[in-house]
Amino acid sequence: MLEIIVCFKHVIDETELRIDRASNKINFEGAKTKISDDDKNVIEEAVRIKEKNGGSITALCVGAADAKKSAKEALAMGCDRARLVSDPAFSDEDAIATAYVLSQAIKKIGKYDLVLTSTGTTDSYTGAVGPALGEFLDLPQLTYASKIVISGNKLTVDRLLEEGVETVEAESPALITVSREINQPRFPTLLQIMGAGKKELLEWNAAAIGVDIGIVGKGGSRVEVTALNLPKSSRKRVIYEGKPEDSAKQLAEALIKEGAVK
Amino acid sequence: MNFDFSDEQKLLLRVVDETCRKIRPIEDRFYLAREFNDQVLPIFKEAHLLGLPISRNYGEGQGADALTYALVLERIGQEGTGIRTFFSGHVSLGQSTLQKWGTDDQRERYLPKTTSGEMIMAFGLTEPTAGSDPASMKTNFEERGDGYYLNGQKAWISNGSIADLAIVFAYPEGKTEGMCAFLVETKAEGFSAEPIKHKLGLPTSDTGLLYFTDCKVPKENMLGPPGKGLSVAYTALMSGRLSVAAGSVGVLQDCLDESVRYAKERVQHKKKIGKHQLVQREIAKISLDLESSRMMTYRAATLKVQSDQSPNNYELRSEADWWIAQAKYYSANASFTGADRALQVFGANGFSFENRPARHLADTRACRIYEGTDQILEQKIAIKLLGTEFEAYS
Repeated sequence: MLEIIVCFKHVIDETELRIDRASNKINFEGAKTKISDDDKNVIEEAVRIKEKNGGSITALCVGAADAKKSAKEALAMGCDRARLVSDPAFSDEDAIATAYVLSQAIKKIGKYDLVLTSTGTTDSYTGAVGPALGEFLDLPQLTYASKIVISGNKLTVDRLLEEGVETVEAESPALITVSREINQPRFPTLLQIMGAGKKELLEWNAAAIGVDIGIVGKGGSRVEVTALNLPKSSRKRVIYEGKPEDSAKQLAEALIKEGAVK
Repeated sequence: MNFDFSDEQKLLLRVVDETCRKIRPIEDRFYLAREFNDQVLPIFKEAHLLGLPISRNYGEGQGADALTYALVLERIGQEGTGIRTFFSGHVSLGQSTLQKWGTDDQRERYLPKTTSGEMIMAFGLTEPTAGSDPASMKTNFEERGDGYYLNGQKAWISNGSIADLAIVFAYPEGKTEGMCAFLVETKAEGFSAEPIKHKLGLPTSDTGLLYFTDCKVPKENMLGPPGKGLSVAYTALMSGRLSVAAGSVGVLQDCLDESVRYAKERVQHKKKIGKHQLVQREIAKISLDLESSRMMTYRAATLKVQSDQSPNNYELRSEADWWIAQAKYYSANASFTGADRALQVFGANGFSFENRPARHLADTRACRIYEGTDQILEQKIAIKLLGTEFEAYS
């Protein structure tokens, strides 16, 4: 039976953030949380794979206890069980440390054929967790998947690249990072939502998955976020006066010169 | 009464919230163009919300209780009364009434298609000359051969010109008693409809005029027992009024959110207007009205849940009916006043439909009329206390 592990992140809803233009800072106060948008595509793909090939899905999240509601949503979308890993020791850690924690949790889960992650999360979008997790688990990794076909233990994946699509093959077990273009996530029905409460949701801490505390959290991270600012954008405030046909021409020329239009 | 929501209700509301965020920019566009929003159906269909309180035995029915459904309508109401009105017509007045009064055959024939959105429902009681006094309506039917033939007109029918199936009330020809209800497929010969134009509000919601000219309804499509039309109508109005109350709570929430946001951003006299105490008063009053409306509506919905579980308990149904009337009256009025207060917080900017308070002000005016005018509900509330011998129209 195909065993799928889906990694998802519980993030702050970016549409809820307020911007303080004076200080150029982001105000996180009172913002709601959710499953990272791209991770919903990953969960959806896992459910579609299961619907087509059979198997079972374990949803895995490293995050605060607050992530429980997102775990329930993943269960309502069709995952069979969820594992939530949280520990104060993990706070402010970088992508590599997160990948290490995920790898330890996956080792505790044990058997798996497929590990699915998104190509990046909507909050920090480092894009590093998936590949780093593949390394920690010593798995072949197929990134930016826009199509996944499974035949026995052979995986065929279309990789969505900037200039085209590359088709690659690998044998399971493997790690696939899934692009958001792959599908449109479903909404669960009320019946599925009611059913989610009956599915197994286990919470693990660092000790439960045998994490080496020295290489997680802020202390164990090699990357530190020192500031979070908005990009500064200033307007040019150019006005082309005169006859409309002349000023339109001037505007078009200026836009072409700036590279805004080709 | 305990209003702590279950994890399942919270998760459902997350799904509804996501759907509402999707519809917001679309509704913005349709509102400013003053056009019917034809995207409400596909977007809410995708979220399995078109048959939420209908039994799971029928298609996409989800089996939600009245309180859960009210919570969902509250969230939908934040997006605008036009969108919520679609649900009131299609689900609260249409499908819930069909489920309650329909035969097994009628439910099986229609509810799978209505819960999936393949068929849209409407509820046709009001006529050009019969509003608060439905007993004076003129639409009539004649039984001939294998069917009933309807003649007459209905007005101000939500979803009226887009519906595929309408619940229509009529008297036997030549009589003013023995009202019957019918399930009328709008593709039937002798049926026609048109949207009402030049409305004060609800531009994104369809409000129709229905015409019946010897419109044939098959025998198996009478809804409820013969002569029980008024009972069918009154139970429908319980669901309909609760939907208006819940939607109005959502409107108040949106008015509050918008006012707080604007008061924190807008600067006058060199400080944010939220620092002005007279602006604070408007915000405080919207909040008070919101929470009062919310508590009344939740109480009414909880009583409806209990009444639905004990359908033969007349006393409980009467209590639920009374609370629903109070919640509808209070919330509809509070949302209209709340929209006016929010508009005032916005100042001149509030006077434009580009900002949400103006839309709420125009749209919620309908809530004080449909499903029982303010005046009818005031009487209903008082009669429960005075006794039926004080009824004005008995």
